[in-house]
Amino acid sequence: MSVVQVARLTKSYGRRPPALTEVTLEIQEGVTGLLGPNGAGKSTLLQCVLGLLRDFTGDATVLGLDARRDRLEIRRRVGYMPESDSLLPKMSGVTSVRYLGQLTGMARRHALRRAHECLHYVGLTEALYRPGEEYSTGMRQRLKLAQALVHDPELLFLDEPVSGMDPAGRDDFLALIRSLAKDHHKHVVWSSHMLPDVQKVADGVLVLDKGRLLGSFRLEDLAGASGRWRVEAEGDETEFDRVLASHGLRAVAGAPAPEGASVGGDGVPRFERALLRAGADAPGAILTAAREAHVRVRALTPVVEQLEDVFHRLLGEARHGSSGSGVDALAGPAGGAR
Amino acid sequence: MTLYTRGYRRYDHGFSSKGVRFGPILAQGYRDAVRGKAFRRLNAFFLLILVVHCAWLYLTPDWMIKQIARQSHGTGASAITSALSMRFVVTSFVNALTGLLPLLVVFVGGGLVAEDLRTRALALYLVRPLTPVDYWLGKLTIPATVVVVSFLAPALTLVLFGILLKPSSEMLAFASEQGPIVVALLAYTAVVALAFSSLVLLVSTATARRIPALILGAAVFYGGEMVRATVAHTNPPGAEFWRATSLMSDARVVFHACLDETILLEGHPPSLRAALFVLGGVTALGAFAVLRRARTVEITS
Amino acid sequence: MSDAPSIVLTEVSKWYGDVLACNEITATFGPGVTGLLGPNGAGKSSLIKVITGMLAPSIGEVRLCGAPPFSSPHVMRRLGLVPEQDPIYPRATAYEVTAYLTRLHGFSAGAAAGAAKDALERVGLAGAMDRPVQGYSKGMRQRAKLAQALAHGPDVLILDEPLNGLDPVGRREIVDLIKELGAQGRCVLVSSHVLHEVESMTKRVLLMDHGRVIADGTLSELRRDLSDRPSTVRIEAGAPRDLATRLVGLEGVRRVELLPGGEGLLVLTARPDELFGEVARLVLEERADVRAFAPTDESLEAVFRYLTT
Repeated sequence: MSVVQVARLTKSYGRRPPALTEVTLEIQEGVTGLLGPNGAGKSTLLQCVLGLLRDFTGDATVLGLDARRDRLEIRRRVGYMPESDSLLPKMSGVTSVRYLGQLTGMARRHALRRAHECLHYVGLTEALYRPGEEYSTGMRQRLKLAQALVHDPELLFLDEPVSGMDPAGRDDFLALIRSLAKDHHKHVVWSSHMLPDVQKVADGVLVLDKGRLLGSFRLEDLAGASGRWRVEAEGDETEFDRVLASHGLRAVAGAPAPEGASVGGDGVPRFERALLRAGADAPGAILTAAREAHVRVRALTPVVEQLEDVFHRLLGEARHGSSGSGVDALAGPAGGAR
Repeated sequence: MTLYTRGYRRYDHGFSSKGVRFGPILAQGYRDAVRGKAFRRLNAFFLLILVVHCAWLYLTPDWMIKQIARQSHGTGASAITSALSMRFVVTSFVNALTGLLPLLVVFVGGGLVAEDLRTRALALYLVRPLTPVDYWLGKLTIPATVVVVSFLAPALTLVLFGILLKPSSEMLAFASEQGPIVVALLAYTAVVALAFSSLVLLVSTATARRIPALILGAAVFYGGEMVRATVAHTNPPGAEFWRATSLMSDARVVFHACLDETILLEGHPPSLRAALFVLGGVTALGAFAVLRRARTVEITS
Repeated sequence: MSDAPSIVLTEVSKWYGDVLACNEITATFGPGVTGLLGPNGAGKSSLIKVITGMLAPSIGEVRLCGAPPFSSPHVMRRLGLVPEQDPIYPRATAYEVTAYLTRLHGFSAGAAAGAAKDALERVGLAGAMDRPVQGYSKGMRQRAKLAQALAHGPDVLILDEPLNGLDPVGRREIVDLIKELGAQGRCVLVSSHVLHEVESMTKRVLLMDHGRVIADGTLSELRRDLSDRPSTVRIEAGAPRDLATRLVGLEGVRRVELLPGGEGLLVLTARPDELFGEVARLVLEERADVRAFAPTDESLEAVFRYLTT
């Protein structure tokens, strides 16, 4: 079930190269990450989908509504959280959310109650009545989310929602979004450059670059795709490698040793290994080898491909042709500057 | 005992607000405007002037009768009709306030678009079910409403007062004679509300900061009057246009035109045609500036 | 006087009236990259201002490369700062601003021009350096700030949220640049909220909260010092309940929690080593269906959360 469908969307501004070229994509239910370098066309796509642009070729449908004809109705059912530090001048948190609710067509009394509910939900219970200009970064982000929620939209667009927040705030916010999606069945489109955050929350991902769709995939396809295992253990590394080899398991040294080699609580050296293709009974085989080598295994996990690596690979392949170097294909400095 | 949902709740009371889409912009903006210090002080002063003029109507002192006689081109000093007296007082009221209305509009309207640009609030407006035209209308009607409340209401009160001063038998007849004055007041208010507000919106959008908008707005109004006064006695090329650069005088020209008079000003007055052209032009420019700014809102930085 | 690149703080406290921003901070930063971490309001920005000589400490001493930074141009010449705010002079081009600021450090016009060009190329603005800054995207502005901090070849670099606004490609480039700068022996202090990126740049961190230093060292050292607290291990298993019954009787186990989706359990234990041994034994001798296990509280993020809540 798709929430947004875009077909052969093309948009240029004046004589500049097109911002979007023949983009065809679908945004599914649940949480979708919208990724891409700066200049990829994400904001143009968002503007088309929000009904803020009219002169584009192609079709766009949001929640079943046409993005050219039913623009106002779309904006009634969609919430948007801007990236910029947007505030309403001189208004308190409650006043601005209530005001924006009214501008969405809610009667004042309903908008006021709803403003309070949304602000409580995002965690701004104490600062409701203070002017928005006095808010800290984290509070402003929450205020922006509250104004996006006031009219109970089915679909939310969040643009860099956690930028500038400290780790605790970021975790809280991610939990809020997860709850909105899972418990309250809202669809969320999350546009961000912080890929690990997206990986924690999203169900599916769309990658854009230079006005084209590079790829779209579900995150569950990433898990378990690699068939590799990561082992963290204490004891004699060389012995462990030897035993593994004798069992036919190939080991590759894992993450480079941190500054000051990793040492466990009792001074026993720790090391990491990444194992390739250990097969279905990997835990059993690895633990057998560990026992033989008198090595204590502290962590044994299947390697999940990181969204960041997939992203860079897709980008590298698109920009420089299939490089085949897998994980570390980076764009060169001239192309990357944006 | 019933447990209600904690956390997020759905909203199911509909989007049934009656009235125009830009209504909340006007309501909120007007409320903010009338809480401002500048508004309260100017408004108090306007009311003071109203009281003074009411007193004049009531007393109609000798010197005023002589003045009216002179202006009515000597149609018999004793036959000063109440109509002329009324006209004189209302015109005086308009003249008194003409110099101050720009200040009022500039203070109320200077920050309207500028503050939104400073805090990047446009993005929050435009993702609502609003069009740029709604935004423009919402902002325009704020100073316009202030003008109606601060000027038109007292002006009509003055007229009403004058009518009520008459003995009851003559009241109705007298009232029906005041038609032209009321029309003139309405026309004047409309022109001030639209054109003055549009100018202020124009400078607010252009400067993107409140204080520069206040200064530039005041400069255009009062500077224009200075230009007009300078050109009034000379005849440079395009004189007709230069004489219409004062929006304040242009509004007064409209007022007097509705009363079938020519405005009394030193030297050559602006022509009605030029006045309307400038007023209309300013309104159009203001609309164009705001709409263009609203249409180019960037939703990501 | 002219020592190796370093920042030495001795009992630095800074207050504004009754508001205490930094409370007895003692720390030494040497060559290499160090992460400066902490929740918002922890005092990091005030500390940065004190280190860079923009503010004097209320009490305590700051030494940059052996000398106090206050009013010493020769010390300031060795310092580069990437502030959180936007750069000044929006109508000038990045090249003009960088060259100008470099000249302020005492470079000749020619040397400043060359240094500015080099710095701008290193940060990836080679193509855009002749355009006015006001037309830049957020990421480009960030790179411009970096170039301004680098051009005069400082030994000590302070970077406040250097990756702000950069897209993933840019983030990687700048992370690599920072690692390179640290590897060159410069003393680099990076303040950031994005913990996994800090982890990829360095293992040495200084963690602040409420104005105090609450942890100072590498992640391994921190983990070791915290090793006497119970650790939480996440175990994914086919039959979590059975496994839970087996483990709850183990010495040191404080709590066993079944995960809601039925995918496994969380075990809180004061003796993690015994737990690992027991899990291995259960897999090998009783063919327990264990699919994965790992401690959950050893990443930088987990340590940070533990220390700041």
